[in-house]
Parts: sequence; C-alpha cells; structure tokens
Amino acid sequence: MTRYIIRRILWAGVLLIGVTVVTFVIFFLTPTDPAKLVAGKAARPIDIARARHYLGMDKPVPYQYAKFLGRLTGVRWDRHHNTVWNIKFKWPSLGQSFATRQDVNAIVGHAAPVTASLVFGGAIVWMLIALPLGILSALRPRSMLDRITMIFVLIGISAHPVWIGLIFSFIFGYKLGLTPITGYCNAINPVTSCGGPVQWAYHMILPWFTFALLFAALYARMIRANVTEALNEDYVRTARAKGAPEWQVMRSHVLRNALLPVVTMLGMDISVGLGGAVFTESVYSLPGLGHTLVQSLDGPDLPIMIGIVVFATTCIILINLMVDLLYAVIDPRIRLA
Amino acid sequence: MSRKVWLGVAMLATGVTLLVAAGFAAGATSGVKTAHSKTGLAMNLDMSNSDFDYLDPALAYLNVSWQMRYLTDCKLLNYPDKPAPQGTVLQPEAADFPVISKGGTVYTFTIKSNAGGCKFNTGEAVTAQSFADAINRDLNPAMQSPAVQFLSDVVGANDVAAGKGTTASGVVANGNKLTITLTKPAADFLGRITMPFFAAIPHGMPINSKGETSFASAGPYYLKNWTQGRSAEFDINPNYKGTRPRNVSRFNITIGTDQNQAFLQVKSGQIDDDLAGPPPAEKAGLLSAGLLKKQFFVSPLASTTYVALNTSRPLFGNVKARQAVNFAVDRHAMLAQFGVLAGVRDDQFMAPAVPGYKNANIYPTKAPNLTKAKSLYTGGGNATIYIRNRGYQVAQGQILQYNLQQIGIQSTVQPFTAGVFYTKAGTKGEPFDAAIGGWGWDYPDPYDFLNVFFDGNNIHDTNNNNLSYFNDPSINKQLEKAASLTGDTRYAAYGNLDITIAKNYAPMANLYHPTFADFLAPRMDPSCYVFMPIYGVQDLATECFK
Repeated sequence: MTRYIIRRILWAGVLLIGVTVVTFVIFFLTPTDPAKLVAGKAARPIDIARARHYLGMDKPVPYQYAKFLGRLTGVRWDRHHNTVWNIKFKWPSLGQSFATRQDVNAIVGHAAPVTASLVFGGAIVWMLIALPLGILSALRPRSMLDRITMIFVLIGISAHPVWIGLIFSFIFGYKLGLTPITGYCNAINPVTSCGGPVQWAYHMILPWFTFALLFAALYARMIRANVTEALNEDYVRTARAKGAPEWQVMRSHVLRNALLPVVTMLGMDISVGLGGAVFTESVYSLPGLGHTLVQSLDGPDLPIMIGIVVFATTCIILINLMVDLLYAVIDPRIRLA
Repeated sequence: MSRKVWLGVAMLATGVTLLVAAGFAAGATSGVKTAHSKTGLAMNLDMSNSDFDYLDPALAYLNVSWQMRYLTDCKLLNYPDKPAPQGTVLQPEAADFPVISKGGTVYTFTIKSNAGGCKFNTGEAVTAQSFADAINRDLNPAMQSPAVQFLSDVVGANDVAAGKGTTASGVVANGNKLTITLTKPAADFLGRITMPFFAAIPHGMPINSKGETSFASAGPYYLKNWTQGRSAEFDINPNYKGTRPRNVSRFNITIGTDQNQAFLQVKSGQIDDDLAGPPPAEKAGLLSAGLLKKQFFVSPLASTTYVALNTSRPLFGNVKARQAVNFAVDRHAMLAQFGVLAGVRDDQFMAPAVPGYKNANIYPTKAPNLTKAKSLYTGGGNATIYIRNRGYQVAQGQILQYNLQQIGIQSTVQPFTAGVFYTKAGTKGEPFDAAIGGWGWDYPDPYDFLNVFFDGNNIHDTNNNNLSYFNDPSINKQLEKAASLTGDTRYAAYGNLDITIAKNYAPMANLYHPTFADFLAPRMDPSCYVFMPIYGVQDLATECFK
C-alpha cells in the first residue's frame, strides 16, 4: 500500500509538471501583451518596456517557467550581476495576477471553497436523488415510477446546465420568489451583509440542483442497472431462500455489490465536476474557480490561469488517489499493486 | 412496504426542512423597507461581469473604477454632478482655477481655505501637499501606475519614473500653493490633471504595487471595505462639507454577478441597479413597456466603434478603396447587432460629446450606397478582417464581410479575445486589412481621439492605437498644430480635421458612437438620475429614492 501511494504521488508530480508546461506554452503561443494591462491603453513604448520588466516578461520563456517552478516549490532564486546566486526559501506561491497584481494564492484560496461547496454539495444532492430513484426503479421495473425516472434521466442528460440554471432561477427565483435569483454568501466569515450557514445554504439550493441534475440522471440510470443485475445474482436467490428478510438482502447483498462501481464513479465525477462547475458558477454568479478562470481568459491573465490549473489538477489527482484507496478498503478482492 | 414508507418520509422531511430554511432566509433578506423620504437609505448594486481593477487612485483605470473614484475623490478641479453640457465644464473644487504663466508652462493652483469642503474621512485636512503626494506617488516606479503616460510633460516626471529621485522637480507644494511646471505648453493639461489619478491622497499613503484596498478619501464618500471579486461598500464621509450631493447613505455592491440574472433582480426590486446596465436583448422590452426615462435611461458615450482600414497594406493603401468601404459599410446593420438604442450612427470619428464636433454627413449612415462605392473602386482583392469574439462583434464581422463582398472584395474573418485582438492589431506589420475596434476618451479633449487615431508620429512597433497605421505628414503637422492651440480655436481646428480626415483620407470607416443604458429598480426616483458624460457612467452621488 505504501509503495503504491509513493508511486502515485511521484506520477502526480510528473503530471503536474506536464500540465504546467502545456499551459505555459499555450499562453506564450497566444499573441498577447500583459504589459499593456499594467501600463495602460495609451502607454508609450518606454512605459510598456518598464511594465514588461516589472512583470518579468522581458526574460526568455524557459527562464520565466523556471521562476514559476521555483515559486511553486517555495524556492526563490535570483542571480546578481550574473555572478552570485541568491536563493531563499519561502511559502509556495502561484504568483501574482497580471491585471490586478493580487496574489494568486489568495485568489484561488477565496474561489476554491465556493467551487468545493458547489461540487460536494451538488454531489450529495445528486446521490440523494439518484439513490432512491435508481433503487425504486430497479425494484419496480416498467412501473409508472420507472418510466418517470427514465424521462427524468433523458431530460437531465440532454439539457445543458446553463439552460437548466436560467430556467430554475427564472421560475423559482424571479417568478415564485422562493430562492435568490443569483449570488453567493459565505457560510463563515461573511464578506457581505449576507452570510452564515442558513444564507449560504439558501443561496446554494438552486446551484446544487442545477449542478446535480445531469449527474443525478446518469447515476439513477447506473444504479438502476446495477441493482437490477445484482437482484438476479445467485447469492441473492440463496439469501432469500435461507429466509433473510428483504431489507437485509438489499442492504447486505444487493446494494453492497451494486454500489461498488458508484464509489469509483463518484470520485471521478467529482473531478469532472470541477470543470463542469464553471457553467453553474456563471449562471448563479458564484465566485468560484470556474468563474475566475473564465474572467482571466479575457486579459489573458496567465498567473491566474496557471494557478487554477495547478490547483485543480492537484485536487483531481488527490481525489482519484483517495477513491482508489477507498475502493481497496470496500472491496477486499482489490489489492493495490 | 415499511422501507418504502421510510424512504418517502425521509425525502419529505428533507424537502420540508429546505423549504422552512428558505422561508426563514427569505424573511431575512427580502422586504426592502419602502422609503418615504428621498434620502438616507442604502443603495444595493450589482456589478455584472466585472470587478474594479483597482480602487487605489494611482492604479484605477476601468470606467467602473472611475465611477466610484468620482464618488470618493477630491480634486483640484472637478466636473459638476450635472448632465451634459454642464457636466463637461470643469469647475473649482479644492482649488480655484490655476494661474497659467510663462507661456503656458507653469500652472499655480491655490488651495481654498476649506479645500472646497473636502476633508479626509479620518479628519486629515486636504492641502497642496495632498495633491503633490498623489502625483509623486503615481510617478514612483514601484507603483507601476498607468498615470505616468499622462505626466510625461511635467518637469522631472520622467526622472522619477525612471527611478532617479522620489519627487518631480516640476511639482512644488508650498503652503496652500501647488505649482506644476511643464516642459512645453499643453492645452489639454487641465483635463489630464483632473483625472482620478491625481486626486488628493492622505499623507503617507503607502507605495504598494498591488494597490491599497483601504484608505482615506476626501470626497463625499469613502471606501469602507472591498473584498476583491466579492463585494464593496462605500459610506458617507462624515467630514465632507462640500456642495456635492449625498442622497444615499451607503452603496453596497455585489461584484461579478451575471448580467441576465442581475436584470431579474432589478426588475423584482431585490437590488436597485446593475452598474453594467441591462442586457442588450432586454432593451427593446423596456422601451416597449414605456419605461424610458422612468426606470430605463440611455445616454450618449464619448466613445466610438469603427472599422480600421490598414493603410500600410496594398488593399487599403488605396484611398479610393477606403472611401468605397465608407460608402459600402452598412452602419445600420452594424448598430442593430448591438441592440435597441445602443448607439448613434456616425461617419465621423469624434463623438458628438467631444468639444469641436461638427456633423458633416459625409457618408451614408442609414443604408449603404453601393453605386457610389463601386464607382470609386472596382479593383477587387482579398482582405483579412480581425474582430473581437463577443457575440454581437462576430455578427458585425460577418456584416462587414458581406459589405466588402458587394464591392468585389473577398475576405476572411478572424475572431480573437479582446486582449489578443488589441495586441495583434496594435502590432506594426501584423497581416490584417481591416479591424473592428472601439475607443473611449480618458479625458475630455479631441486630442484623445484624433491624435491617438491618426498621428503617424505615434506609430510604434507594438501597442498602437492607430490601427489603420495612417501616417500622412501633412495631417501629422495639422494634428500637432491643433494640439498647441487653446480654447475655441483648438476645438474648431479639431472639428475641421475630423471632417477632413474622414472625407479625404478615410483611414477608418466609423460606425457609431455607443450609448450607455441603465435600468433602475422601481424604488429609485428617476428625477435624480444623472449621467456623468466625462467618465461615461451614472453619477451615483445624485441618486435618490421615491
């Protein structure tokens, strides 16, 4: 197990470096001049040159990438008069925004909890919807409930989250006034007059359902299929023949086996959800990672783009690692090589 | 059966809990108190699709940032809280009009005894040093302030910007006198020194390249707090005793909202205004609902949208081809993509709000004149068109492509994000023939239109705003001559140049001058609405409630 974890962490490092290289290259292939963001729209060439030097953009690209890696690992290095190396160790940093000069650590730090609350809260909501729907549909195949579930699945898979979000906010927020139309409140340390757990949950109801709908549809269908298959297994027939109550058959035999793939899928889909969250964040004005990344594309603002990419990649790697370890715990047949 | 009932009860309980929570929360947030007085309430605003770039006076440059700076600043001179044309006329604020001497190179401001009522919210007085500090702080290379370009003709400014010294020798504060010495006369200097970069700052305001997010202000309001990307709050400055209006007690701003959602919030009265205005697609509905000048306001901007024709390339190096484009382009269709009441079609570059503007009706603005266009140019050719990739801009690119095709010019359209567009189009030698761009003034002077667009002496390798790369020696001379004039003579010279360049050289096909739209909540009093023409934004200081 330890060897497995170490190997996964080393591969994660390689993957991270690969992702940052690709992002850096894409940015520098894009013809843009961040110095203009600093110097202003009618700046003179001398002002642009000064801004470029301030941003470090007058150095070669490999040099800039090496500086970035140094900041990321906490190693700050410089060379004085091309002779003396000056190396310091500081807290890892994702750099500074070109447009606003804010620390990217702070930008990501403020945005990540918003995305996390959307994704994890949405995951809970989609499981709360998918589990009962999937199980009941499997237990009552071709019933009215089963048919309604399949229609729900079709809508959930077909409708785009942006469309769903706009419809929800128009109906429930604007027309019925049941929820806020848009906006976000911090659960703790509120920055506006709106804050606290109740306000936070109130503002997240529609985003959670919007985000969850697609996944709920997919998972309802998957759970239905898995439960149906498990119900036809020999060990279930044996358990019933031995006189086990139905609830025990479901809990100990059917669900335990049927939900194994769901655990794997959940981890992967939470990772996928990090990317898909941008649609929901845009509709409901949630100041999360996706929304921040989209705004940074306009500049474009490389430090923010790369900071979010690094952070998201790290999260995805960690989540997938946790899922793999959890799978080994749940299923004793699995041995991690 | 019992398991199914249990599951059903569990789901019902979850749903009821959520609804109850929603009910409590709705009670906590809804129910904005009906105002019986016009003043003293807080105004709740959204800021869609954007955030302030900075609120630090040395760094703030976006329109929305300057909108809030206008609320909080105390300047030597300022623009009154009135619509155009009164709103474009400078008047004394902390200082009287300066004494201009030594051939127009020395400006001496005398700070009034009470600084025009300005005082920092911390209690610190506004003095001549407050303004000198602002200028020197802007010049400090550690600030990397975009204000440096507007101070290039102040004696000693370039030295400070280069890191040689901390104070410009041409900026001297002595008692209640502030003296600024220029290297040469500049008729637009008063317009420049009134930019928000040069507002009074408190003594010892730190040099911070990231921009201060909390600092004292001497204007009617001050910034109470700002969480970037999330929210901002501006409160009344209790020490301000000047004459500017302060009907609203506080501005609560939620940042980064979605414009469509914010529109619904304004409609339902959940918020009072979205600083980004209503979505373009909603304007027609607001107009047909009879809300113009009641809740829906449209005001002209001192900005312009144009097709730059690259004169450095063979196709549009031909003046006849450029004039043909001006006759062929469908300005009506172009503007229609931007929405109802979105702008005023115009074939000239200066906006009507710019001093000196004269309407000459050179090219057709209602519909193209293809007969005239074809009579001017029949050479055909292939063009590369650069556009920005926002929705309506893509449609405009396609319209231009069609218009060019009708006069025999085949073209391809290449869309880019705004940052990439301006970098590419602003790079000398970039292989494009036409580019659809936009421009808005930084300060109210025709120099900030015509010299920026057409002075060939300002063409660099990169970061050009003269996207047509127009460089005619006689026009360059005339532009420089006009820049040296003052008063009505200056404006008349620029007005004539605007017509001459459009008619005889046609380096651009101007399309329209955009308007700014605003949609207020039902509780806002429409009689208090003022559009601030200089910064092209709503004047929040004048807002009041029904």
